Amino acid sequence: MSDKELEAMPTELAALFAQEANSYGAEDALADAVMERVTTAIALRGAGEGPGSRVERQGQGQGQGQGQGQGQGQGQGSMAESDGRLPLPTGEGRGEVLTSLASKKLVAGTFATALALGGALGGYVGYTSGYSAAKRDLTRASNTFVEPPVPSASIEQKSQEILTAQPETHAPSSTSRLSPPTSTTAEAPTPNDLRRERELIDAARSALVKGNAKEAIGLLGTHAKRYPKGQLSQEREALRKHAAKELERVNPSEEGTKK
Amino acid sequence: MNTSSATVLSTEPLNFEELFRAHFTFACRTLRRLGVQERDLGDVAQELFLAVHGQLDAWDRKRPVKPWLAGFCLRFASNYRQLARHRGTSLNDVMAASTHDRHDDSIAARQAVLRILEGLEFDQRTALVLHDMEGLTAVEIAELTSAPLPTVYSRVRLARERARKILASLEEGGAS
Repeated sequence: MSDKELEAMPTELAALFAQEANSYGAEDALADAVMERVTTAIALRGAGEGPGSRVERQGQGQGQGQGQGQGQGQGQGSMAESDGRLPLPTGEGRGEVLTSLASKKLVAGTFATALALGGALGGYVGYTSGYSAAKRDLTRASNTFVEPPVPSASIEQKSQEILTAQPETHAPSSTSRLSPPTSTTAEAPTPNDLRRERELIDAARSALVKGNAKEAIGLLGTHAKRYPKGQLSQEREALRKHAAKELERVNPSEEGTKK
Repeated sequence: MNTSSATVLSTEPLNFEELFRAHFTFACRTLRRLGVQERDLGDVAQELFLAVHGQLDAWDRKRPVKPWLAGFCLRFASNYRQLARHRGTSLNDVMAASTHDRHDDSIAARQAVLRILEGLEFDQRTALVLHDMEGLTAVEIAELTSAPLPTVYSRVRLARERARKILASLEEGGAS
């Protein structure tokens, strides 16, 4: 539909705008990074996870299962602004708020100074309600979670594809003169392990975002068998809780019959 | 089934990932044009798409997706600007903003456009970006901005006029 009330755009502006439009479009790397962060936040939404996982992956170390305390003091205020609604983490809403907090790490860093007061207040509220909610969820999940249905062939296939992927060439070859004589042990995780863990988790997350919770649970089960104490086990458990809830939501009768 | 084209997006059901992949660049360039700095683009885009995901069910799929997403861009850019102003952060570091390695004409054009847009009032800037650069109709912009239709027309006209003047001054500055 054209706006006949308006004259045509001046030619010099039209030419400039056309040229400028060509400067966008090579955003693949940024898109991948943002997509990963968004899907993680979505997967954590409602799973009772605070920003711990997100912050942890940003390099602040693992193991803070109740990481809600880190980061919401920075991010709460700006999230309230940007989302246009008051982020009172009450009831079922706390998952979203905490997820938002989780994803606010970078923006939080930028706006922390201006929002310190509001952030700290919101952070305290988020921490207290989020932590207790997370505890409730963990208890409920441990009581209600049932093993997923038998993975379908496609899940197995996908898992196998990932697990049997060609190993990277960094592993020392037995015929190489440069390789040390000691054999490689499976004790220390290698970059290859982390890569395969990442592939499984990413595949599960992708399946979950696409609405295929069964497949996600199957992939997470594969990850759990393969890497019970893997570097991404915390993320796996968060995804698994979310997938179980999603499965229950989509097909409550199936869940009920298994109890 | 691949439903990544914008035409299909407006009529066919699609999941969030498809929408994200199809419209991420649109969202980024609109945010950028509305004043979000390059360094903050990823963070603001992340928040934006989280909000989009949260409201995906509310989207009327009989209507085109672009104006709907433009509404998110407008809201997030507006909030971003308010927060930046509150914090005292400069939003005028156009030349330093580009982190691209490329120094071709399109990057130069982008910098020129950002300089022009920085010289406009936000309402005019919004009208120019959405109408002349993204092809939204004045009616759609009127809905998005809750402004009367004649006001949108007026904003576009004024924005063009001002943009031409700024462009001329930039060219004079570049020539001298």
